[in-house]
Amino acid sequence: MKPLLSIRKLTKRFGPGCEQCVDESRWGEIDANACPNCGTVWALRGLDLDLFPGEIVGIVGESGAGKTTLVDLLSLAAVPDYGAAHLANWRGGLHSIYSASDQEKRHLSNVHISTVYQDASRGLLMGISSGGNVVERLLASGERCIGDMRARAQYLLDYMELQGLMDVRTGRLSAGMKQRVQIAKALVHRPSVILFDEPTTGLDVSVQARTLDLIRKAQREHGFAALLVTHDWNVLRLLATRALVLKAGRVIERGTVEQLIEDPQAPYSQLLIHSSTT
Amino acid sequence: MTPATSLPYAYLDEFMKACVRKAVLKAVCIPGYQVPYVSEEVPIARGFGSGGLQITLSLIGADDVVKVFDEGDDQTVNAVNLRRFIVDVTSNATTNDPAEATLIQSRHRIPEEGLRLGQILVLQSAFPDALRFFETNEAVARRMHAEADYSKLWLRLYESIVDNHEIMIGGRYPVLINGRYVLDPTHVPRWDLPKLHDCSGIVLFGAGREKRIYAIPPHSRVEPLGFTDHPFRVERFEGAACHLCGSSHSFLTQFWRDDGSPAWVCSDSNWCEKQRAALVQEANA
Amino acid sequence: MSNCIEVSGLSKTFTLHLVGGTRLNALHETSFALEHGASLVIMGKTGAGKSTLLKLLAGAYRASSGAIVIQPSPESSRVELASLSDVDLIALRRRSVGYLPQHIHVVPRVPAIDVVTATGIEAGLEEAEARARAEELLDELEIKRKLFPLFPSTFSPGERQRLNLACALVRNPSLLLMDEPVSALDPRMMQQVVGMLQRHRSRTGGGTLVTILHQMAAAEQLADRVMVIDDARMKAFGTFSEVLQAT
Repeated sequence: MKPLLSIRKLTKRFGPGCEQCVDESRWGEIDANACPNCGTVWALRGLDLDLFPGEIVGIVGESGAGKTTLVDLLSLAAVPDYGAAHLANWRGGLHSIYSASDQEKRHLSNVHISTVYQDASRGLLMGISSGGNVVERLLASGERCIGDMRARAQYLLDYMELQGLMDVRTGRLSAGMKQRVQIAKALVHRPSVILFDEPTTGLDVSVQARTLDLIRKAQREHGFAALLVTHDWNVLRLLATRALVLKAGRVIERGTVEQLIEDPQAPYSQLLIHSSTT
Repeated sequence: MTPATSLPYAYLDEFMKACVRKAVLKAVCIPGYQVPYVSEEVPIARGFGSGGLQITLSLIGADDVVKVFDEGDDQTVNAVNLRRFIVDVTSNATTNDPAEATLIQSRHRIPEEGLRLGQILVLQSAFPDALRFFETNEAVARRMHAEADYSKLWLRLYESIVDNHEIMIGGRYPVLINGRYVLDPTHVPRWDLPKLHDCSGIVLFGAGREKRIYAIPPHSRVEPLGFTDHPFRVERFEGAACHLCGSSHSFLTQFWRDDGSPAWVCSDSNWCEKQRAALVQEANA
Repeated sequence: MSNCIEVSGLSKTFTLHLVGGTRLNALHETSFALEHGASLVIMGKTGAGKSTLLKLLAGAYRASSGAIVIQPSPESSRVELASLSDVDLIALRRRSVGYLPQHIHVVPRVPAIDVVTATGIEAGLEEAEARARAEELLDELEIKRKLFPLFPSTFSPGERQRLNLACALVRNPSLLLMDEPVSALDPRMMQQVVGMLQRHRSRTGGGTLVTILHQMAAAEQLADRVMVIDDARMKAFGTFSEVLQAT
């Protein structure tokens, strides 16, 4: 099976870097993400990952581990210092998505790689109706028939259990509803990859369960592959099949979700698992 | 006002005129692109047509015949004062008849009969950027223009249709020029936009306060934005007709008579006069 | 006959970093082989290391030393568990190695019938076929039809256990690993489950079972191999009578 998204040596640093911290072979020794010598912050160091069609891979780690940087890089909101990401269905997977022009990047993040943010205001226009938010993606790719676009948006919003809310201003919806509008928006072009950045953090438990359930359903029926950034093991267990544990910008452990939950090996992974309430 | 004999012809010095002309040339070369330019002081307040006036003064030649009108009317305070100033600094001939004019400065209207070859229409623009509604950051807006990223503009039309079942944008209706830039056609009514398509004359837009010049060169493809199932439509005046000339196929404005009853009148006063003259001629014949 | 499971020198040590790096020996130097079509019952005291062995076989634990080679059915290829990528391990578990853990986390807000059906779809069945299999299995396990559309979070422990069994069986795995599958069931239901497992073996044409059981009666019916684990070591391995004699 060929990977859909193939990420190689993805690295992002904030600062000039010095001889000491640029040396890849010594990354294992560095425990913090800031270089003790020059102070350069290494948000992500040499991340490798193959994402296969139809699977959900979890990205676990504390704040500052590099999760959000990874989402920013893959959603093309930022560029890496080095490393590449190849998407199988864009230019035959021959070119890294970071070699795309700005216009191509807009197309990529509109059609191929969607993102669902923890903060809905990053992904949605609050002054526009929820239907308008979904339709925006269709408008951006040149569709000009209101009737068709509204039918598509209506279907997706109903699918996300948002019946009758199509023409309501997004800013007036509850937090859980906004997340579901984001998911509907993410689905509209049937993207091959969706990035979920803490999609249910901050929602109350019942709303969280419902949202997760809708993500599961959408994943089963639409068949996208996804990266799920979370620090909640229950969310991970429910949605993902395998996962990476990030610390200080490095992958310190990877395996099936079952392995990571049953048998975490790195000290940091054990700390994460046993800090979780269940 | 006494003729300003000590001033150069057409008020601006030759260097300033050259600056404005260069900007105009660039604007004509890149239809719809907003060219930044040095906006010189002229003796009217910014926001009252200073951009349009600078273009007029820079382009005017000794044999140009000038028409100035405002919201279709040749006799409004603004039109009268601008015309008087132009005459004072140039001594050029003026006219109210767009057919005779070579240079027309206007606000909010395009002459009802459109433009012919060799004519230049200068429109006073208040907000040159059609994206200003939802993108206040100039740098971001320029990037959006550069990448032809107009989805938010389309979204505004979508929302208008959802709220009102049709596009309820009166002035500043966005138009796409030659399939590339979206341009703000100032507050001309939707009625006038079809005249811009494949127009024989040159249309120049001057925004003095915002320091931008943009243009529609002759015979450009000008498409007001619209959806396949909700196309662009001009204003409709069902059953209304001008109470002076009886016309029902011109852009009408409503007013109230002294007894409080509503009535309609042609917005373009010169056109209305011509209609009436033709009626009189017909009656005499 | 070829072997379904070959285990050699298998050890599992947990390093508990949160309690000062304490090392916990959960399984020590275990070696055995189980041929295709056999049914192995693992017995032993609580905390002896039975579940550790089962989880190692399922790939849920990663071995500290030693090797596990699995060939789910005589037709499939032999794989060394430790050498599998996580993607391949997930595929193996979905298609041919079933694992029924002692405790299952129920998925919220999904009707019981859909839980089983989705598991079948994961294993590669068509939706209609998966649903038919799911209904058949739940009927056989005497889960009432009126419970089908309910969420499993409302089920009793016994009903949940049977639901999990249905999930394990709907995949029709060649090798089925079960951790105390009948602990919450009454004797009559236990008989019913043992019967089902027997039928499962004959249906898959020699499916291999590894089961942790405490109930002697059920073990006697189900096992043709028995393993006794005590204090992290394998104490006995053989047929029921051999092991009975040895201990």
